[in-house]
Amino acid sequence: MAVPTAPAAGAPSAGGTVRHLTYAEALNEALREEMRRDPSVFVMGEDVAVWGGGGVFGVTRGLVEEFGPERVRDTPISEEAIAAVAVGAALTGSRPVAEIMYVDFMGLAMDPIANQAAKLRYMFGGKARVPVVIRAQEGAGRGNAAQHSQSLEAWFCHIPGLKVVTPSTPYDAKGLLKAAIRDDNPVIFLEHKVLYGLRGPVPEGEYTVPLGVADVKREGRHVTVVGIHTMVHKALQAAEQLAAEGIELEVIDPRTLVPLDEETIVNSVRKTGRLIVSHEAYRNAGYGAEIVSRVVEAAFDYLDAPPQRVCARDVPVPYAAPLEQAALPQVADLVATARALVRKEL
Amino acid sequence: MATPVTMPVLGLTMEEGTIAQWLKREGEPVEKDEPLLLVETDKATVEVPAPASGVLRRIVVPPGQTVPVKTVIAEIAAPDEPVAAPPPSAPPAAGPGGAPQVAAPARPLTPGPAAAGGDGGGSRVFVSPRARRRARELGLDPTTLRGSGPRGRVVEEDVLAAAAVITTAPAERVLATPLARKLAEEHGLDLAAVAGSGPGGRITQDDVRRALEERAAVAAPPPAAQAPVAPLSRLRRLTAERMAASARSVARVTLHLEADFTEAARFRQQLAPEFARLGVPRLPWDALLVKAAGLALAEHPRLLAQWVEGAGLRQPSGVHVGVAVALEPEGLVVPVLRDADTRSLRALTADLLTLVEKARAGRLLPDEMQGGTFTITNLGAYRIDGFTPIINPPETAILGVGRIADQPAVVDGQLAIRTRCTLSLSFDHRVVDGAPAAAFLRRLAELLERPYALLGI
Repeated sequence: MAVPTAPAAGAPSAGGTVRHLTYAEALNEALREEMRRDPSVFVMGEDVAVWGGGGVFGVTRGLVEEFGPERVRDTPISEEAIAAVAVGAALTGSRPVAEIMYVDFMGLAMDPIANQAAKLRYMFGGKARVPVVIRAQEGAGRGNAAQHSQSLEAWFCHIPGLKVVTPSTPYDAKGLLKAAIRDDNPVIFLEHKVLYGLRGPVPEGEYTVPLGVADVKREGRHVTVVGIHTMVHKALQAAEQLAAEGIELEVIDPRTLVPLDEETIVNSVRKTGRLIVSHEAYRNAGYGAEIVSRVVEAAFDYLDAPPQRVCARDVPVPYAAPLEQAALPQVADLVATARALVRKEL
Repeated sequence: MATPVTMPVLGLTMEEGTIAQWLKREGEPVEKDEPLLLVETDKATVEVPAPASGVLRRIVVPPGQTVPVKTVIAEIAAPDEPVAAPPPSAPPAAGPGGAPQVAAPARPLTPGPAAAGGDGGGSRVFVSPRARRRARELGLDPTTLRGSGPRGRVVEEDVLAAAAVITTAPAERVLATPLARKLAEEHGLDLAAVAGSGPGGRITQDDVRRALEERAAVAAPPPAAQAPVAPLSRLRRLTAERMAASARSVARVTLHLEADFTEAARFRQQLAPEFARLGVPRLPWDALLVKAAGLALAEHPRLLAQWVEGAGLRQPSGVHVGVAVALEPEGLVVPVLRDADTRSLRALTADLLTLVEKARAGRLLPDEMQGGTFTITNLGAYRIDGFTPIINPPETAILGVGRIADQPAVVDGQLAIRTRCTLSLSFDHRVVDGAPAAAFLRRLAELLERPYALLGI
């Protein structure tokens, strides 16, 4: 049930015909278009050229056939090597898109990312550029257990110098990845494993989604819900349910966590007076707490109830499917929390 | 599960005790061992701690009463139990916060600003930041309100509800000396109906005494076998006070003008299907009148100026036109269409349809009824030709709209059938003289007789 079936809220049209692609296909198209557009773009990672040329989730499928093994490079199983080589290549003029198979493995790649990529432009007074994209996928819902199901975006958000992107729809995935590749700074591009199969409208032709611009996926008057990844879709389902009771949710997908489009979120809370933040990452010290803080700092006088976090429980993600679902925030949790806020039970 | 609080045995020989004071109110959270009440024995006054944490659900024995030891004097309930009148809905399954903890931290389940702020004083009123801001804007003291949120928190809705009561009462605050106020209160006299002779129009003791004498004189006729008097509903009373205050204080003059709506009828007939195509299902006459009034008022802003007793005239910044809507079974509300001079006829029509629907459903927000600078009232549906409407203070003018019907009329020396309507403009002669008011009404009629300017030129 974790796989959202409804397509996400309407993607803006960008000219051309609108097709319905999966999230994985949209990402694949973004890579393909950027590799055709700019010869300095290349892809590297574990198994990105094998398994039919697809990586474990098929995002890089078919790229090796078109661009050859020089630009679609399989690597040894060493996350530190992948990240370090990518950062070095970026410093010397390439635009690498490196794939770390699971975000859970990022611990091994942290030094090149946090101590090198994030710092070098600053430490060289702006003379060095690090146009690297590090892709990984995160999230639970596939029974991949505690070491393959985490959502660790907060780790990267904490480090100044990194941009952090979390698309929730095929449209956004494509547009954001293209923008990330063209960005001259290191971008941590976090996909969600359950969303790869999600279909949604993706127009033909060129478009990008700028980093740092949130998307209001649904407008409403009573409660602002800021969701990340799957929680955007769950929030839309909750909004649908609550609409029948006359409770309107405004669902916002920040799309990029760093830089964060604080203005869109704050303006929404100024309107609704109530805030829920929701992510699959652990509640404790999750990025939702940062969003709550920003809103409290900027719009304290507009709050009519304490902001609420509807997030994963603070436990290692369980393997057993019923426990896994119980540990994740669900539509019912959003519904209950929104209802309690509006009915003044919180 | 509720924990009973009993009269404690405070000494070997104690048989009964008197409640001196409750330190917590009903509905307030208490922590175990926190001082809950003061008990007087024959020896001393003793502070009694709460036997459990939770909410003080019920005080059984009020202060001053003496009961035997072990008598139940109050009940404390767990915080997640419904307190007093439980909310009609099922509580959220996930508990506070929506995302229950698996590894439950060693922390009470009553986080939140109210519990955190508990200082044992027990009298603090919690006000949400939003409610506080709104109250500041409206000049209300939020701590005097009764909160509908958890632990009595005052939320925005409570402030708006309080503001609605105040703003449907006479719009300007009645100035009166404290003594006059006290005197009026003692005699049940409504100060809004008293003219003030003090500085700045302030009502003095003498004004109240004079009003009381007048009232006594009027009320003097002996009650000869009269039918019983039914008390007024709140809305009726507010309306009555307001209308009477307006009639008493305003120098009202009403002008009548019979306008030719033949062209406007054609205009409306042709425009309605276009509006329908754009999602505005109907085009009521009132929408045309609002737009025409908006344009004419922008040209004649003096009709918007507001009398400020003892001070002068206030010129409001916007042209906001209220439309009087009669409610069933009785009552009158006036939703306001903002910026009637600059917004398009279509936007105004869409708003009008929504506001009228909300008005009839009783769902208008206070915001939607405030800030009007002109009012339109239409009795055409009742076959009324013309009337002398009462001005809606603090506004200066009101337009009464009569029946729109085909009538014989002389056009170019020939008798013709034309669609006619009588427009009645009541205005406050203190603010504006007859000629400029008439010029405004003439301009309004022109705009409706040649209605194409209503589309924006």
